[in-house]
Amino acid sequence: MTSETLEKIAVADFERFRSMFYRKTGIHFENSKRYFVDKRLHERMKATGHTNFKSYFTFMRFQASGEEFQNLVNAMTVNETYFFREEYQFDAMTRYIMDELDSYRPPGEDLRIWSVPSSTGEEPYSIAIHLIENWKGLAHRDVEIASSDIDSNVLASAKKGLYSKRSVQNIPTALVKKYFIETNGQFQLCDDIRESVSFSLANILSGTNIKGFRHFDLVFCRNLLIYFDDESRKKAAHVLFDAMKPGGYIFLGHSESMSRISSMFKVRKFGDVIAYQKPLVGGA
Amino acid sequence: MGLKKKSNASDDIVIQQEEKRSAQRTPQQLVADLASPDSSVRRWAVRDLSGEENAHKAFLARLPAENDPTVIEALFSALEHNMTDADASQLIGMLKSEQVQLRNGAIELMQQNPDLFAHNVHKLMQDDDPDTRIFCVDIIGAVAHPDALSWLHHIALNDDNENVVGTALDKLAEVSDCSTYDILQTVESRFPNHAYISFVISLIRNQLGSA
Amino acid sequence: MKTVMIVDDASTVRMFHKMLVSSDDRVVEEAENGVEALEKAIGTHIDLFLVDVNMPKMDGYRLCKEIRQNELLRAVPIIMISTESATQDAQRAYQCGANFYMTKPVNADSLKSVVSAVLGGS
Repeated sequence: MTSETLEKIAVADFERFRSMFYRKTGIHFENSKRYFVDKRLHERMKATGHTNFKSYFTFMRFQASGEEFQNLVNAMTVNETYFFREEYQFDAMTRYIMDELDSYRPPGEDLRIWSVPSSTGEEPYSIAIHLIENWKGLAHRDVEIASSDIDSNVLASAKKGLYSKRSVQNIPTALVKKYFIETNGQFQLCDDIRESVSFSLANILSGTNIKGFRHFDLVFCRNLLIYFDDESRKKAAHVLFDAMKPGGYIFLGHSESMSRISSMFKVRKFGDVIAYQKPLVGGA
Repeated sequence: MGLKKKSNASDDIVIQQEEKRSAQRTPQQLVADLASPDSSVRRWAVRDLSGEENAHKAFLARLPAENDPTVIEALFSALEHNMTDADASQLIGMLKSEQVQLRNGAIELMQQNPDLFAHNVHKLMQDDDPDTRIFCVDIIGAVAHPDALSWLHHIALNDDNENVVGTALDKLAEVSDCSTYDILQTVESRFPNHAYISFVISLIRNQLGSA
Repeated sequence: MKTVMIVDDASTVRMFHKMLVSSDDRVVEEAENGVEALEKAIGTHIDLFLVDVNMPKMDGYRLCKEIRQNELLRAVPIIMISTESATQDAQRAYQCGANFYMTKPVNADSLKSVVSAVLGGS
């Protein structure tokens, strides 16, 4: 089945699909994204054996397991990991959030940050570098960075701290020189940063195992929840809520929103950057 | 001061601060904790009770008395797995609650359980209260059940309340097919000169007309 | 330019109300529920909220309370729109901070007049 035999998607059908996708995920596709969206819809139509969009839409919309909808969401959200990805969140962290968190905690109490999933480590290491470079509060406050993933292979890779050029290309050259040693086109992260992140194997949906992850001031949970179904997403939101101290903050990925998951967190904004805060008093 | 170093760089350090409990809590103690004056104790009780036999019963009993939004969310999230017909009946009852969060939670849970909802849909479609019938349509509008379209058609053709029919039409704007086309004229004639209903019918006609 | 935010989980109701209140000197923003409304509204300039009561995740009453607690949004007028017509529902809306309460289906002319009165002409 070539793409030519797949029916072109009519404007009204696209709009209906767009409305449904927005209702379920909060993601809105501009008309300019039609090529991108149509391509992925056609891929999914091909994968599921539908030649016309209407029959694919009905199949996907009424499938009890929701599996095809999840496949579609995965296809629509491009997720690559690299250093300093969605850097505006790290900026909000060092400019505003760390100071606010610092004001809540008594002297001597560490601030704890959790990055989940760690994947191959770019995110927690980016957090470490940003803190050293941009947060003056490090002079009087210890910060602990923990990072978890369900996949032991990526954890092993994260601990090694060896990266490709592609992975570091968003980092200003001066910082690459400062924190990495380049050998044969590979970039080895310096020990100082590597040793400032503690990695652990964890499954956020596991029940008993995850209950020990507590008392975090700041959580980065980016581009994970989007891959879960509704039930798991809500369960994860509770795990994350319980893992945080009152007043703690959480960042989601740029195309993710608590608006389709939970209203437990307070919506906070720093410029255009959205972060969600666990209420300070009483958890309400 | 600065970034804390892990004690052994090569080992897999598990960052866990185990909750130090003075005694292991029994299910009975956890059920009692559901009524604790401390909302975080109540939240943890919900979490620790999840998966226990009869937990659903305790959660459903607690809901009407609960006023903390985060605990209400935790209760509904815990109910989501392994729901039974008996659970569904009680949740259907919550559609009549004065507490919006309880109604919303019940609607969401029924949306996730198409077969349990289907056992109750006809009764709901005939409920005396138009708001309850609207919530029924809200569930139909999101539920993954093959009869959803015919239920919406039935409501659009038979319900007397303009808001119930309006809500059904809103949902049809997402899931209509050519069989919907056949009913639109009848629906329109039931509510002549109704600005919103005419608007949505027109929208649906345009969508179907582009086939 | 005046900005109106329409908050309702029914997409066609948003479309319909948008059609009624749009004009050359108005921008209309939309949100599906209270959480999304706050995500979009906080830190931006909104001149008027049209808020449905029954929405998933965060309902209209709770959204009103949140708006009234937010330093920058607390003075923004709120028109609450609901299917519920009992007096106590209107009272509840006012207690949460709504300025006006209208029942669905809204009378098109009434909605337009109230919006014009709040925003100052159309």
